Amino acid sequence: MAVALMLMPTEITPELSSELPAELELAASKSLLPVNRETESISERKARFERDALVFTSPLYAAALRYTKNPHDAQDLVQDTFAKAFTSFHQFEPGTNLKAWLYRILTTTFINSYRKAQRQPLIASGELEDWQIFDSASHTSDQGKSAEDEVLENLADGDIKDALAAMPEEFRMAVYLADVEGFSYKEIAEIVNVPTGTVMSRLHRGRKLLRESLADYARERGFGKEPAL
Amino acid sequence: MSCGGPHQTPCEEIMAAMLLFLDNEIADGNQLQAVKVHLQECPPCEGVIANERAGLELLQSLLNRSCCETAPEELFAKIFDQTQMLADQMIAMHNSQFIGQTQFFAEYSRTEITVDGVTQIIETSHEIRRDFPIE
Repeated sequence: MAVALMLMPTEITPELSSELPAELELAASKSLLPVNRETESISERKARFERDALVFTSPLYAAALRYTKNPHDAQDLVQDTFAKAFTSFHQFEPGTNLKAWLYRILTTTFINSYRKAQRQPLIASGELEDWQIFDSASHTSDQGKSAEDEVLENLADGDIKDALAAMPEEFRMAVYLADVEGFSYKEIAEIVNVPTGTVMSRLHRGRKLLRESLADYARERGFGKEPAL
Repeated sequence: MSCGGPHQTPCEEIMAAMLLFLDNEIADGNQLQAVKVHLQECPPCEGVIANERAGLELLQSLLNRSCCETAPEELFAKIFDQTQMLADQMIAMHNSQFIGQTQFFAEYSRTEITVDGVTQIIETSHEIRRDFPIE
């Protein structure tokens, strides 16, 4: 098993809880108990890992689905992530941001192995320009933005997932990590290993693309052509 | 984009900082205060920001509504088994390591060989490791 020890984040600051469900909040507060990693036995480390890290299995799986776009690869990716996380768990500084640390491993693992295997084509350059043209045109439409927004609420979950999946990977990751996982720019920068400025521009661009794509789906589904009375 | 009134922070700066503001990424208290003051006294900027915020919140609610899959039971089981297996391996590796005191000795030998009146000196050295287990 190749473990990418050098890729572990070292300076992610603690910033958990508040939005966590009660049982996760409990786990998060327990994780703040002092632990001596020098004297900790492997069984103790395993117990601590199971208590603190495994609560993130479902969120990591949902993120892995966005990354790999299929349930089989997503399961493998999460499993690999937890293997790497456990074998380097003694290097994780207790009390710092475990969630961000795990997402960093997930993302690095995906970029280093799964993406190569999947070899997904990059978006054609012409396609991006089409997006942009569409984007600027939508601002001049006489339909108010809020009216356009309302129709998006009618979209099925499947359409939203498809729209996200169709986005170029770097935009998809930035939007997902910020808008679903609630990571800060700095945390995302550390997770995907790019400068904060790059995160900002990907986020800005990605949200724009996604909104336009969703508006497209809504139009295809026949929402919002006329007010439904 | 301006209400025509004089502002301490120009409207352009507010618009440029919009993304940071909406994402709560303005860490500097003074800068954050400057944006808030501006928005209170400038209805056009306030309108743009409110509109953007509504759009962003909608996008976030749509994403959170649709991207919240629960990991399948089999994945939880696989991870538990995997963690157990890795822990067993670590324990086995840990136990196979020698625990006690170790001493190193170096031994040198010097050999003089004379062949046909030519003397050659051959020096060799080797290291001896001795482990003294703790009783």
